[in-house]
Amino acid sequence: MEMDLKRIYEKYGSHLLRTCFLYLKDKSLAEDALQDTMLKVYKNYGGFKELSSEKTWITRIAINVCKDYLKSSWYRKTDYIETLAEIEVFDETPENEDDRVLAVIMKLPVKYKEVLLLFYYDEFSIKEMSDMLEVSASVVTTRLNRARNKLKSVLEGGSKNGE
Amino acid sequence: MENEIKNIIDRRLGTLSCSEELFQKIQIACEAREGQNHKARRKGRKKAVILLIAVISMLTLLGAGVYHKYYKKTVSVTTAAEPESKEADAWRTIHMETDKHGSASTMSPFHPADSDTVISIFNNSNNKLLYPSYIPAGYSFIEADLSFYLTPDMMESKPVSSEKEDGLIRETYVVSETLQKNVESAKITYQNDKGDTFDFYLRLSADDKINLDAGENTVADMSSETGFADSGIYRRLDKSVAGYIIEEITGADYVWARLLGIKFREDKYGYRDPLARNLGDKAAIKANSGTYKYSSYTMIASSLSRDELIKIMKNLR
Repeated sequence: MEMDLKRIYEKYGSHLLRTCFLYLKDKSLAEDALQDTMLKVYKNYGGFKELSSEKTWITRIAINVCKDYLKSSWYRKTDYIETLAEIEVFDETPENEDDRVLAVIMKLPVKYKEVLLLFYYDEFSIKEMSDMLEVSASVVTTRLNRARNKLKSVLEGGSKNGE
Repeated sequence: MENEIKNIIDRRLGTLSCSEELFQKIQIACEAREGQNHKARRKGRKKAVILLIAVISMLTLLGAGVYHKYYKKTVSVTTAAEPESKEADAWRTIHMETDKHGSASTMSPFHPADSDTVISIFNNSNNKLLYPSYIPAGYSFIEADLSFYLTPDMMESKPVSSEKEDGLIRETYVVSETLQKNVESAKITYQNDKGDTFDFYLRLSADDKINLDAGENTVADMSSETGFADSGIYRRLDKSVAGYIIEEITGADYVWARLLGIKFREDKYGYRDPLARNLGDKAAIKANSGTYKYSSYTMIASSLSRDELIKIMKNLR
């Protein structure tokens, strides 16, 4: 199967870049991960059998690349507000709700963060997520509920500290 | 909530988007891979990407403690069956993925459900592994990732499943307690109610030199090179000055550390407390050659004081 690199890049690139950023919390690493992802997609596209959608397949590759990065390097935890500040000039007050939500999401353990992002940001179905993560649908649902609860409790509990 | 999360991400990260410059780098890399007669421009950033990938691959392979004379096929371990699964001991299965060229594609570890299981695996290991016995108040175990040195020819039984998909061969194995002795790295995450975390990392390495990448509020404890058994170094890396400084430099032994591309002067560091262990020559099961030379223990915390980190390190058991 022929791969149109430009088409794939334009269609999925920005979305994947943001996903990688939310995993890796670093803009430069996210770009590296995206490059690595595109290389893997390019390398393996001929074997893509359309057992899943193109988006599912590519997203799974990106997630696995990010997990490799998280595992393989002594990952430096950064101040998440500082990380977000790399993206654009923003209001540094803790009450900026968008940054507060994102910081909490980025702090979640990977297994909760990924279901949250896959479901709400990538808008995959439970079935697609189950296939992608190689766990049962019930596991996906359980994690999603826990992720929602964690997000909700931290946001409600941290509001007085502006966290 | 659904629209809100997506809207927040798109709104807040809207300026984080792909550029033509990045595409050109990707295109060059892909074309170079194709072996076309296209001379890739070696910008500094592309070199860093390739070097990063190479270093990550090298550390992963060297960290297995094997010098790959014969080993043509590296394996990767993908996520084991999760604790939520109803299958008995499902978390003891691993997936190994190899691509058609025999090279590893992904690597994901075991996820034991609780700290007791982690400790049990550590105690059962081929090598002396330490774990935190002191946990700061308010923190509790969240999750653990364990990696093992395993190759397909080590497995004691045939894979319980094998499939090919998208160019990958994916096999599932049950890892016996014997093979679980080959723990080579671990990450244990603890968290409090506020969402603050600290991560405890263990790594066995056959490297001759120690490569650290640590951020603020980090205490790194590691052994020195072979020949300095039963010794350890506390090092607090402080970002208060340009680059990083190293506290409490004493003694007369050589350690080389590289942090974020900044090479430290080859100062002499001393010994504070004997924590890290020289692992001697205990070899991984069926490993062809090579041994681990040292273990390193690293803590990274989002909001623990230096004293708390030191206390955790001093109470490794």
